[in-house]
Formats: sequence, C-alpha cells, structure tokens
Amino acid sequence: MNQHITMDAEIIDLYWRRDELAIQRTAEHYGALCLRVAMNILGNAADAEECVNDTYLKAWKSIPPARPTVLSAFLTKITRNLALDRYRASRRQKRNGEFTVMLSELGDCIPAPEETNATALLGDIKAFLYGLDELDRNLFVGRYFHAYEVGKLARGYGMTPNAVSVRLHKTREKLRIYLQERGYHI
Amino acid sequence: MMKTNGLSAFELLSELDDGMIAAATLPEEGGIITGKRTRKDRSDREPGAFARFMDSNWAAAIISMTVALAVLMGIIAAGRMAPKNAPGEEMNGPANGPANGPGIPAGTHQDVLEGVPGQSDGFIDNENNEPMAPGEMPDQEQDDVPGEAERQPVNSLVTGPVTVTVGSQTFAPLGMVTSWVERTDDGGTITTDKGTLALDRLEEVRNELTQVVSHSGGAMLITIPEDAFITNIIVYDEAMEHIVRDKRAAITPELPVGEYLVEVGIRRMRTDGTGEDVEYLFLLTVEENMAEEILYITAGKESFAVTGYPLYKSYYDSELGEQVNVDMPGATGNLEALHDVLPLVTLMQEKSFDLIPVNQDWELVSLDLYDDEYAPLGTVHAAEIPYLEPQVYTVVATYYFRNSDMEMAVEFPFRLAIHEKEVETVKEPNLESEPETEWVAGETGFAE
Repeated sequence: MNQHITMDAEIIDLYWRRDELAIQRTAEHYGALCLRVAMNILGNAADAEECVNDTYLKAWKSIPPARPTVLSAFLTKITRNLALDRYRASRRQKRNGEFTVMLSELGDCIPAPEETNATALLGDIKAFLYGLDELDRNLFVGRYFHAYEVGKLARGYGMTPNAVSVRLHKTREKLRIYLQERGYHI
Repeated sequence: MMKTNGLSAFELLSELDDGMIAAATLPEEGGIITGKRTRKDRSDREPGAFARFMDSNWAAAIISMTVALAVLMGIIAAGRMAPKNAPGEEMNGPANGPANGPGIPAGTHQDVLEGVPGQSDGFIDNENNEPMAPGEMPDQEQDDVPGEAERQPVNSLVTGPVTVTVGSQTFAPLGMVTSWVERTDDGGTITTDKGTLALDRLEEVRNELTQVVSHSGGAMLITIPEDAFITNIIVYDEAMEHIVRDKRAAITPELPVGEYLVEVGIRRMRTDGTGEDVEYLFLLTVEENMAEEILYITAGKESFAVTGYPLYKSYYDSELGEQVNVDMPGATGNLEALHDVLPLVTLMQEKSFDLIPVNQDWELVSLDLYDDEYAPLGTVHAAEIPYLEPQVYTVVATYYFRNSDMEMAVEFPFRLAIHEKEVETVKEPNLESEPETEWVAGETGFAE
C-alpha cells in the first residue's frame, strides 16, 4: 500500500507541476484499470478507449486544484461517470448486456436515489458496506462500482464464479432488507 | 415507488469512499486487493487429461460438436430418440450410459465424447501432444511439474452443444464452456470465467436452444466422460438474479414455462484424486409442448428417449358443456411410414425393462406388440418384454396424459430388438483334474 501511496504522490506532483509526464505515468499505472471500468460499462473497446482518454484530460483539468488521496479511486470515478454519460447517450444502440444485468441486480436492492434523500441513502449504503466482512465488501464494490464481471472477480479472489454469484446475491438481499428496515421502499 | 433500473443507483455508488474503492480494485488492474482468498485451495486443480485434451483439441472438438449438432437436428427432425442416463442413476458414477445407444447413428455419441474419432479415451500425451494408446493413462507426474513458465489456456472457449443429465432427465441444449483454465508459474491453475461472452453468444442461438430443449432428450452431443461427474447444476432466472433450482434438481419438465440460465459444473477425476472442473452456462427455454414430451425407456443402465405422436386430445368445453375429443393429425401412426424413423431399442433377454413416464401426469395405458412386418402380436405387459423371443418387434406404447387443463392420449412407437442372453464360459485355470466350471458373466466367482 505504501508503494502505491508514494507512486500516487509522485504522479500527483507531476500534475501539480503541469508536467505532461503525469499523463504518461497515469496511463502506465492506471490506464488498464480505467479501460477495464469503461469496458465493463460500455462493452465497446473504441468507446472505452475514448473514455479513458477523456479521463486523462479531465484529470489534467482537475489536478490542481484537486489533490486526491487515492489516485486510482479518483480516476475510476471520472472514468465511471464519463462512461455512464456515454452509456446514456447510446440508449438506442446495442447495450452491454452484462452491464445491464449488473444494473438490474443493483436496481433490485437500492431504491432510485432521485426518489429519496440521496445523501442519506449513500450514507446508509456506506454504513452497510462497512458492516460487511472484507471479502463481501470488496466483491460488492468490485461488482457495483468497478462493474467487474462475476468471472473477473472470481479470478481475482481465487473463487469460483458460482461462489461469487452466491455471495453477491446474499449481500444484495442483506442490503435490500437493511434499507427496507430504514424506511426505504424497494 | 417505482422500481429503478439501477442506473441511478450505480451512479450514486460513484461517491463511495476512495479506500473502499481502492481495496476492491483487482490487482492486475493496479489495485491492492485485500480480503483476497488464497488460491491454495485451487492449486490442486492441475490441468490434467481433460484440460489438456480440451486445449489440444479444441478445434477438433468444435468441429465434432458442429457435426454433432447437425446430427442432432437431423435426429430431431426425424423424431428419433436418444440415449440417456438411467433414471435415478447416481450422478457421481459414470455420467452417461454405454457408448452409442441403439437408434443413435454411429459416431453421434462416443465420437463426440472423445472429441477426436478414434481417440480412445481423450487423453493426450503430454510430451508429444499425440493421442495416447487406448487405455493408456497420462503421466501424472508431468502434470505436476512446477515452474512451467507459459500461461497457456488449457480450455479454449468451446462452443457447441452439451448434454446434461439430471436425475432421470436428460436434455441437450447448446452449451458453452465458460471457464478458462490457465496454468500458473507455480504449477497451479486459475480459472477465468467467460460467462459474459457465452451469454452474448447464447443470445444469438436462442431460437436453436428453444428448439432443442423442446425436444429434450435429443442426441448425445458433448457428453460427460465416464470418469467425470456433475458437481453442480444451478438454475437461475433469466437475469441470473435468483436461484430457481439448485444442485441436482430435475430441470426440464418440472420447470415452469420460461427462460432460465443454467450453470452446470462438471469435474473429471484423475487417479491421484484431483480433478479438473469445467463449467457450462447456457440459456434454457422451457416451452409448453405436449406433443413433444419425451418418454424414457430404461433397459438396465441404458435409457432411451422416444418422441411420441399424440393420438387425440380431450378437454371440457364449457360452452358446449361437454367433453370434446379432437383427433390429432397423424394420430393413427402409420407404422410402415414410421419405420425409418422409429428408434431402435435393443434389449438383452431378462434385462429390466421399464417404461418411465415423464411425470405423474402420465399413465401407461397399453403396450401393443407387432412383429417387424407389423403383424399384430397382441398387447403385452412391460414386465413380459425381457422374456420375449429374440427378434425385432415394433412396440406402440400408449400413454394417457391428464392434468387439470386437458387430457391427451399419446402414442410412442419404437422398434425393439431382443437379443439372447449372453453367457460367457470361462475355464478355471490350473485345475486339470477338476471338471470344467462354467462361470456366468455377472456372478462373483467360480463355482465351487
């Protein structure tokens, strides 16, 4: 972890010095991650590549003034939002089936934020996630933040895809009940 | 509150804490993964014979499966039957019955099982990558050589049909290998899911799947090797959200009409006790299609499925206030015309012979026996069949289907070849002064 913090600090310093090497370093260390997240959402390599390039541009524009503590999370959030914009814009096109499935899973356990207090909802979701054991939390975030395929998660965590699916299913059920107990209608 | 499509919820999760996000980033993406499970428990999954076979012969396997699919469709079109596991047969034994079942064209079953025609057991010699001699087992030590540098895919993605046997049910939907097994530097293996790709492809073959499943019990395609068994069968709803059936629950007839995703895990065991796992994921469409219900005939460990022809259907017409019987086209069953497509069941004398209805709604009405020239020989009881004189018969099994909605008589014609009971004579060795002793095959030892 320390190695990552040091590396992140060096890259962020490059951004602050307006050194274009910052983009190169970002691409070297986090390009694959951003591309993966974009691909997970868009399911299209060309769109995902463009998304990643836009991520670098947006990071360049955002740092400074931003000084992210975890660069990977900062970048993936940007990528994620950019990819979502593209996803919405491409409604008439063929959709990424796996991502649609993932959204469907999420829609069954989390109410629409626009119909409730989104800040409170997010707080409750975070509290729920922190209450999970580490593996379940990572699987949930991996699936519903990074939009990883189940198989990808299984490989990363040394589990079978089925075991990952079952654990995710249980976590979603727990979250749904947890939120319902707090007055959310799902 | 309206149900969200998940998009806004997904967007909301953009605001999760950075540490939480970073912790869940997979290591190959640049993350520092925590809470990661050790792969130790998977390290025993050496890429053994089956995996190497899949690797070395994936192209041949695809070709074979393509051919098998064509055969399947031909069989379906002809209304033929297929062999299947014996009802109730344990799944951890040999997964399928003996090689080609009667009525199945040569090569349909076993050749596809082996992947390469003529290859005896599917094992590949590790050194020269050539098929091993029949009965020869792969060198186990070679599987365990650590430090192999190459990370090579052992199971390439194989598209093609798979036959799944669950309890007494067999069906042959198109399936795909969704796991990609790779050998790691330390000699272990890791498995990558290919489910997304498989799902995408499966969408393309949805119609074919529907057709195949509605003729469930079709030809054996990819089959389960004899040293393999099904480790799990899980039926999900179409969104893969809920588990509809778990483990070895019977699938085909019992499932409500609808679409499902079915995950089947198959493990092939090796002599050292380790095994290779292959997972299949496929879309299953269950349609209500009474005329194509399958009758299974069990003879010893061999099972066969016969496509039937409905005679008539009966229902209560509320407007008329009476029972209505409607003859079904082709119900008379011209046996001569059917001859070429009738499945042939071979049966050894005195072997068990059970006619198994697909569920409790089916009732056996009669078994009408004809000789091979269609001269009627009368009605027989199922229990009498194993004791018939050795010859070829045509049998018409008539079933009556009845549930709360309708009634229907269905005829299942098939040809039956009765063979004489085989008796193997064995000379007892080194007992010259003793009279020769006959040993009937199947007995446990020599006669005293």
